[in-house]
Amino acid sequence: MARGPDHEALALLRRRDPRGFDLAYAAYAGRLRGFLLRLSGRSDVADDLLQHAFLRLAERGPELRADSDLRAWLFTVARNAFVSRARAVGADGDDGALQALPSAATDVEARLLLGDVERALAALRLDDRELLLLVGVEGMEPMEVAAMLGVDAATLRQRLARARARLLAALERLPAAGVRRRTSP
Amino acid sequence: MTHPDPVFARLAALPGAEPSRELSERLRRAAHARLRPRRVHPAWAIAIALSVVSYLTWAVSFSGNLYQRGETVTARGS
Repeated sequence: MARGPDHEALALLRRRDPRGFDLAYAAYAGRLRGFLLRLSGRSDVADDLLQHAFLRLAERGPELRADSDLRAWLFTVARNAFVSRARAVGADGDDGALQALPSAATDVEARLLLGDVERALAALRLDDRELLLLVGVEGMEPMEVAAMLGVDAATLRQRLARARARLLAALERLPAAGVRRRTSP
Repeated sequence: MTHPDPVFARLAALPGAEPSRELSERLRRAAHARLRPRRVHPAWAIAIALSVVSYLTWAVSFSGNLYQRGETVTARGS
């Protein structure tokens, strides 16, 4: 179901009016880039995937239904592009290896984001991190996320509870890690 | 709105990460160009019109020839 800003943006996009794109960009670019930056740990990858998702919106926007959920649509496109990229680049099509990928947080901007919650998130497996980013950070409904990830609601609830427990454990481990870092030469 | 779960409350407080102005401007230009309906080059319009006219001319002359041949056959038969 389209929310307020989605409704107006979609109505304009369906008439190929560029103001529809600008509305969608203003509403979701920052959130989507934050999601991609935390998911990949790299600002160049986040920027590439952001471009991919929004250019796809410019191409497909005029055909979207008036009641589409733009946020879910954009996040799904970006997330699928990230998974394809990760498979092609890092994990050679091995799903197990892909799910276990921790966020590398290799560049300056990604490292600057890292408060304790961010650090704990970055240490999680990709599937846990993705779930917590979508439900916890973006505030998406679990049903919406279940549809996006192609799992049923009960499975998603279980995975979410496990991911939350792992995040909590990672948060509890953080101060000790900080002390070790400070005392090391 | 604060989340009842403290873990999710901390996650919900994480900020977005705005793209650079340069990236936004480049993306905006590319997206607007894709949204603008493409105008057909005048040369294509002329080529399409010419092909329609030549097809119609051929069709009229072909059916005219058929009609003439039909008349000749009828005249020989009678």
